Amino acid sequence: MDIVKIIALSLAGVMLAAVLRQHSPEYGIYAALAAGILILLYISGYLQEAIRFLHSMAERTGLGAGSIGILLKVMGIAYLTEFSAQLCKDAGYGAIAMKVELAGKLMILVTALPVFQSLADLILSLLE
Amino acid sequence: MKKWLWIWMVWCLCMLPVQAQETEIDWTDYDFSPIEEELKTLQQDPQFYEGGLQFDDFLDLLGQILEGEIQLGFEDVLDGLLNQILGEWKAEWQLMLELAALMVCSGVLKNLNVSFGGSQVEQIAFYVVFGAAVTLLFQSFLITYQVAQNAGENITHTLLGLLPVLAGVQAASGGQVSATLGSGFLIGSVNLASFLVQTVFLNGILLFVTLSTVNQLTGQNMMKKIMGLAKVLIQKGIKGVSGIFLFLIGLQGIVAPAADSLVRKTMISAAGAVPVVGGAIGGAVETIFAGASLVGHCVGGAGMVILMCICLVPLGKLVAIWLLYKVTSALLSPIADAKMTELLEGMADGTGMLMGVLLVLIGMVVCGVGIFLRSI
Repeated sequence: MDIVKIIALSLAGVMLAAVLRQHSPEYGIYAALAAGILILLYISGYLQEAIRFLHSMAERTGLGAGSIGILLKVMGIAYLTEFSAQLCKDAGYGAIAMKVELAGKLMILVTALPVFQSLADLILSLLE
Repeated sequence: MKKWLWIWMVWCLCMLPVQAQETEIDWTDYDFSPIEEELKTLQQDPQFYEGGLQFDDFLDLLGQILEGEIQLGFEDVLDGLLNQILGEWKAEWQLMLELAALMVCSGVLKNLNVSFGGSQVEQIAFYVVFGAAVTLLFQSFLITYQVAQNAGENITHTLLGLLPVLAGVQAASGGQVSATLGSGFLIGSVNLASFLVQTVFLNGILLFVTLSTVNQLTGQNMMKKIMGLAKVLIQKGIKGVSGIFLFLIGLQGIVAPAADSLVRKTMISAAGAVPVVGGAIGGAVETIFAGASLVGHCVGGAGMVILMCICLVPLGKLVAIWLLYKVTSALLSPIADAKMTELLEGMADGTGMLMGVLLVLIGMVVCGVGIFLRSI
């Protein structure tokens, strides 16, 4: 089962990072980062399947590739931002983690501008 | 001999042929122009449901009702309504899937929040999904709001077109007191009820839905009391208006028919007092009253048919949308965020109130016309 492989990979990464940290802290961070990237690459196939399914559902429902695309981007940005911020915090660099989070929030707001635009148009039409 | 002569003469008289002639009602004696104009306008409206009924104009409809060509039972109306609901449900499946997609996204983001322990990035992403859901839901709610508003206006205009006709027929059937008192009172009441529904209650429902949406933004239920107050005011208000309307109509329906009955009896008695032909004249007067009464009840029946045609499509749409919100909320509540579920519940409550207002308006019209017809 793939989940067993992922668990094994993550445990191996944690143990390697713990051992390397004792001798050289930066190598511990590299080990943790490498484990995280490997896990993400391993599940990217599943992610592609899920995104393909959501796009096909979007075409069938008429939700619009634009709308579903915006929501998928927003969710992707949120997950990647949190993932990176947690890595930075684990490495002890809280300030960089905060900046990554700030960048993520700004990216989400900019990506979602069409959604806010349509919401503003709706409110204006209600007021009229 | 004389006795046999008399018997033979009576026998000959009995053998004389008697000619019977079918008489038709002369519709030109009555002015149907107000309701005819209104019906022409309504037939242009795509929400006007004619279904299996085929009539060109109001006179055609009256003729069909008089000859018994229109057979409408409770099952027929229920079938029509169920078909409308199912048809609307099928047409709105796309909306349901869109809502489901948004609720699944909110569930995914809720998982992010749980995984990373209260993430601000997740909150911003959630508000993007929430904004998309609000836009979608409000657009569909505004469509149902306009459907309810149009139906309310059509019902009011139809009743205002029908009342002068009913009053004229009522006067022709000897109900001058009811026609004078009742029609004026009913027209005033209908205008007041329509104003309250269109201006106060419908806008109150829109305000309630907006408050419900804003209440979910913070998730702290700050607007709960105000929402509760708005809901109670709307529900009690519409019940109060309909109760007062029916009470006053019923009161008027107690006094005026007694006066009309006295007038009718006086007229028949006065006609019957004419020497020799009094009986025939009295009978003719009664026949005229009965004819006018028949026309009046036909007009009332035609009015109810038109009311059914106006209300079937909007009611079907409102019920279908209300069910859609409720079912989507119930099915996806385990995976979606609580705010999204409450947002859907708020929309469902608003749609339910729109349905209630429309049903109360229909009830007022049916009872008002029914009490009016009772005195014809």
